[in-house]
Amino acid sequence: MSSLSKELGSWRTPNVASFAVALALFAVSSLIAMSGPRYDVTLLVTVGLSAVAAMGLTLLLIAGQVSLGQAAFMAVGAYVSAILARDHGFPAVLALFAGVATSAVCGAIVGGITLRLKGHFLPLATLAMGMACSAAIVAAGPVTGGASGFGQIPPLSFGRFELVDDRAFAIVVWSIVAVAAGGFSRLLSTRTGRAIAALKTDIEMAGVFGVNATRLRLLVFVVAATLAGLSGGLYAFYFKFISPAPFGLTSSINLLIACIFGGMSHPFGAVLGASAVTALEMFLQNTVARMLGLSGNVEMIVFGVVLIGVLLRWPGGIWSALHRAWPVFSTPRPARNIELTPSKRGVEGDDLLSVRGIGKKFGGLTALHDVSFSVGADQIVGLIGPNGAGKSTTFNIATGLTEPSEGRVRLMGAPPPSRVSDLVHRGVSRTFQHVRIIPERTVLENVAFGGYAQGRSGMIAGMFGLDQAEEAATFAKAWRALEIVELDGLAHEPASRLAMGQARLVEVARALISRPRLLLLDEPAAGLRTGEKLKLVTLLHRLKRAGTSVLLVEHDMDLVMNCVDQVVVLDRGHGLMTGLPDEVRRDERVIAAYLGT
Amino acid sequence: MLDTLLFLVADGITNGAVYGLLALSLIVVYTVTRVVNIAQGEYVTLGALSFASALSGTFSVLSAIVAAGLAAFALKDVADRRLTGTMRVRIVLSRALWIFIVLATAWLANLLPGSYWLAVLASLVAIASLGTLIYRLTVEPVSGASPIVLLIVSVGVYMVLHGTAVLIWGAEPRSVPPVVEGGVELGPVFVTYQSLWICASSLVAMIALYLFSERTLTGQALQATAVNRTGAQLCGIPVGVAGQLSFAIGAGFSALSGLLLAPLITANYDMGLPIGLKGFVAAALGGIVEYPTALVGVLLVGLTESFSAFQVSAYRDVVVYLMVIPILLWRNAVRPPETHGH
Repeated sequence: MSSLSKELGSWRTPNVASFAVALALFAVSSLIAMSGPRYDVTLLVTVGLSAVAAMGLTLLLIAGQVSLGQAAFMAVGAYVSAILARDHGFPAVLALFAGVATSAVCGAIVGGITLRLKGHFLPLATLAMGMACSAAIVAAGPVTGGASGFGQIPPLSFGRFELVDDRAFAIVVWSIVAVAAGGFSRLLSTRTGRAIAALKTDIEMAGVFGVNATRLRLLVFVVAATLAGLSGGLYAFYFKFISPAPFGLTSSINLLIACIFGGMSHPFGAVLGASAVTALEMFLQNTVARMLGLSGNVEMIVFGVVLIGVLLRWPGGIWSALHRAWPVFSTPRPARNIELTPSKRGVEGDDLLSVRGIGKKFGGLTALHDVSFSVGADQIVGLIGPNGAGKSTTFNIATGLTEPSEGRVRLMGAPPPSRVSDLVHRGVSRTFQHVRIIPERTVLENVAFGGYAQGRSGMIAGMFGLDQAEEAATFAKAWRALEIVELDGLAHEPASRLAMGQARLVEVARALISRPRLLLLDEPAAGLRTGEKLKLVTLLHRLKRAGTSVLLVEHDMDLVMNCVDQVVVLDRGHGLMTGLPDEVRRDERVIAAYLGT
Repeated sequence: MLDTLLFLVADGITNGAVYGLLALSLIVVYTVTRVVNIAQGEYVTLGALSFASALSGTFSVLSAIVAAGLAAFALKDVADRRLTGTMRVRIVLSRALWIFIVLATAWLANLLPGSYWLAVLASLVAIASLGTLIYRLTVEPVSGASPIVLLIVSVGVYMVLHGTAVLIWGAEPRSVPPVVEGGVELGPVFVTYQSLWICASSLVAMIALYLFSERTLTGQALQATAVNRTGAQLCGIPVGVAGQLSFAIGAGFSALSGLLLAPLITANYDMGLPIGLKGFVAAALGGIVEYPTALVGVLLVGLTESFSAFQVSAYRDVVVYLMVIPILLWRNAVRPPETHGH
């Protein structure tokens, strides 16, 4: 009995659930499409179309971006498809394809221009873009029919087969909804999904593990634009009439309402939201208004109150209220034991990191002057110094985040890469002074994200489950890394619940899974208890034996002295001395710098 | 030719002054609370309509609703178990005074119909108080939520306020007399007194806001909250009060722009959204956080609008909106906004 429930339990994974929900969506919608009244079928199509566009927006939100102009991409899809099919004699399917492609290209252009905008500038830019698009459609009257739009759009046809039946159209739309929803839901717990979640947490952190943030953000933006374009194109072929009204600012905001109302952390939230918003509107229009005989304004007020009420109660939307029922991501611990040995990249014999006479000026302020040291193979080097000594600047210069004003850095025998995301390919990994982990994901998923650079599977593979072998290998490594830092007991806990010390060790595990030859640790002992610090020292020795060199920036003198082979002491931007721990401990200048003279 | 040009410039500046008040409202609310307030334009509508009804001597239902809301929150605050006796008394007295002012101004305006200043006072007090109520009802409970959730909540507020405005005042537009009839010949251009009045009032309001935020302790506290919410809280600034204050200022400024504009376009339930939108574009040009840059944006939007109304070319709107993007890119490169972890 218990083995049976265990057997069933192992099926309760997000992947199986995604597939099941997608199937259920398709089944239920098909049932309504085939047997419901005609009015319901039109509603079904409307909900499906807005769900398609809203899912793209949700993906964008998951990646930490907001668009207030998503309806503009729907407009592009709709107008290009409709104009090509009606005025230029394109076969309808080809016109739809062209419309979607144009929308994707527009997404790439707009995204390419606006994605460098930070904070609230991006939503403002997309807002302006959306309003400009509406104005442009009105202005280009001769082509687009201006504010009044145009009709007589031919039906969607494929060869000799014409999709004229409303019910068949609804099934087509909801097949797309089901495939996209199930696919995106699965995508979230794969390599690309973890990277998208990492983008939202911290772009720089994502880059350190090999995510080309610019490219991935652009990809997500283009996917969102493509889905919006598809939704718009299908809209044109279903209603056979288009005008600027359904693609204005109101529609962009409505899409956003659907996403937030349904829950912006999951693609199913978009489907839920689109359905719930329409259901609520219908309920208010048909039931409340008819029964109580109230005017349209009361509907609007009630809708607003419900919207506010739901979001005050569940800021994460309807999905967060249902979230409890959704299976937690889990992967069983692999039976066989794999070793996480560092890869043999880089130049043999040479120093892994060598810093010669580097300096850094910020304006007139000299933060760093003439600092030299090196980290050799199988070596642990400690970088210490009082606050403001220039440790962080040195660290950032060594990893190529900051360009030095003078001096030379060689990382694995070459200058540091210009892109942060190339660092991990050199066999270099790091942790952060302020913990940067993805709070809403499990510990295991966070560690697995560290293996991003070793994987290859992309968005399509993630959506349709073509990445299973690679994922199994990644999670085997993630389990092993968690065992090394002795946190395997917490593998399936959400990372947000970790204590500071545990979170730091998760960062170490995440760095280890990329099998670095050089590990850079930025104050790993801050916030650790004594017992945890001792564990950290043991861990560092173990890593060294396995062939990983470590550069350790740390405040805790005892910890540094207990585990390093060499100490570099910085003071007020100068290299005070470099030596063995015992020499440094006795050195009067170091004592003076630390205790004050 | 020159006459027309000057006329258009004067018209554009008047429009700009109205949008400027809106842009400032949006900026104050956004910087302090991180709410991109879609509902801001509704305060314009409410301001104009409650001004119109106060001027005609009808007791504003809105003032009664606001007073009831204030009383409800006063009861809730007094019920807090952690308060000492004296603090309770102080809360009761201050809230009673507040409610009294809201009701008394409305009642006086009712008694003396046609009194311009009383009507202005009554509607400004009511709407600014409404702003604090909206903050406490819809922002305070989720003040930690991500900005995008706050934005959607403000869409809900928009729906409620918009519907309520129609319920109270109906869909009929109301004509509102200007402060003084007629106008003056400024060189070759005829400018109505109302236009001058709009520009002067906006200017005074903006200077007052500037002095308030630069010269008073409360204003400084508001600025501190805008820069760093947590830091301000640690310094003992009551962030909730700062939020209420920002909503009150935002609502008051928007209402002011509404009642100033009402004589030119008649007060109606649908006037808020387009004005709010223009205010948005103007604020966006300033990157939504800075007052002076936003004012340049405001004039730009006002002028472009009046010129495009004269020389009909639909592409001008496209240009106005698209203008935002290069300006944002430039500002992003020069001084990017802080990115907030949610």
